[in-house]
Amino acid sequence: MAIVSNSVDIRGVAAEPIIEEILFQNNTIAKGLVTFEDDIKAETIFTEVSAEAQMQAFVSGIPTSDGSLNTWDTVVTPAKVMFYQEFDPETLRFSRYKRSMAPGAWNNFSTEFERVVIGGQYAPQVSLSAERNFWLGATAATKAAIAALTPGGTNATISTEEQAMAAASLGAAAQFDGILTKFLYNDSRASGVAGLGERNRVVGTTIDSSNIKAEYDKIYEAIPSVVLQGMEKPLFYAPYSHKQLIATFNNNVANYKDAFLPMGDSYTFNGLEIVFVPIPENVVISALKSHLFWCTDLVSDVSRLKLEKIAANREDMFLKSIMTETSHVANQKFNVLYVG
Amino acid sequence: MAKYTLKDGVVLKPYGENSLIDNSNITDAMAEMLIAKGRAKKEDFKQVTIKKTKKHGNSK
Repeated sequence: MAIVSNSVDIRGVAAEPIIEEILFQNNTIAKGLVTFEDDIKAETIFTEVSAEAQMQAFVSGIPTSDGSLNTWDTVVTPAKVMFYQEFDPETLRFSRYKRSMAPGAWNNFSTEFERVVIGGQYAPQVSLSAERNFWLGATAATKAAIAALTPGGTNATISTEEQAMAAASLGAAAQFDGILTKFLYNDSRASGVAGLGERNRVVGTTIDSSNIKAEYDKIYEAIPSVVLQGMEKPLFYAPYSHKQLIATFNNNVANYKDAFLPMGDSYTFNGLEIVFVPIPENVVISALKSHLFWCTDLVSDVSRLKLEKIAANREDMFLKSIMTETSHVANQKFNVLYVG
Repeated sequence: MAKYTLKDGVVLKPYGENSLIDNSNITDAMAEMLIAKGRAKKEDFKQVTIKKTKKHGNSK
């Protein structure tokens, strides 16, 4: 797409600051909120194991085999995706950006445009898109499979809330299934047959500043106790708005203040860290960081942009970013998915 | 046949600004859940006429 420019021909002066859109940071990468499994060029195998030891009455004769020994592999293949855009720097020759073009008619590329629009806006948008897809992506096929599940009232069924959230928020014809989609539908199990995810589901409600503690209590109580025994503690993955709801909750003098403890930019609930990611409202995940994987060839690919002339005999240019990416959820039955 | 159909032009955003429910992805169960949770109003939906069937036989 060409540069959409409504610029005026510059004759006098232009105010120095260029007002940029405010963007979220890709915290998933910047703060390492999940596990990065990189160097995956084509596919990688995640192996999970479980076992059951069954005590039985002693017999002198032929014993009966009891219990189970399970190991299963899930092959994860990241999707190779790209961002590509063409533009003509000549469009900007009469605008404020001409001031940062080098002298000479050969030179029509503005370093200010590169810094502000490409580096300051487009590049972060590429990174944010990669992050949004990591959390919210769903292929059309998986989205249809989730819609076809029959909702019910037990953990072995999908809830109407989960189905509504998937219909409303996941996908947009993504190239791969993101974390929330994998929570709801995957083939990462001993049988290898795709089906409803084995998450611990919590059916919630509309979260606001008055009920946020009660709803987090429900999530906390749904965490399998054994998860809280380990050295690594689970995180709460919450939507950005919960920062504000927590602050408002804590501002109410009648509320118990030690449940949510903000310290600088770090938030905890019952001692477990809350991190803020681009997931839908009224949705919270609780999982060990080591259970959520960002699978890619090279993590830094999300911040690598190629900017060149389209051809040696042309002056218009292209921007291109290439990466491989997919998500994986391990140890599903130890993770909690709250959907209100 | 679906019991709930959104009125023309009505879309719901029950999971935030980037969420979207319209007639292409809503189910009756979702509609009832969203009404119950206050994220949709009955007025968002077209009037549903439930055809009453006449019972035959002894109703004693």
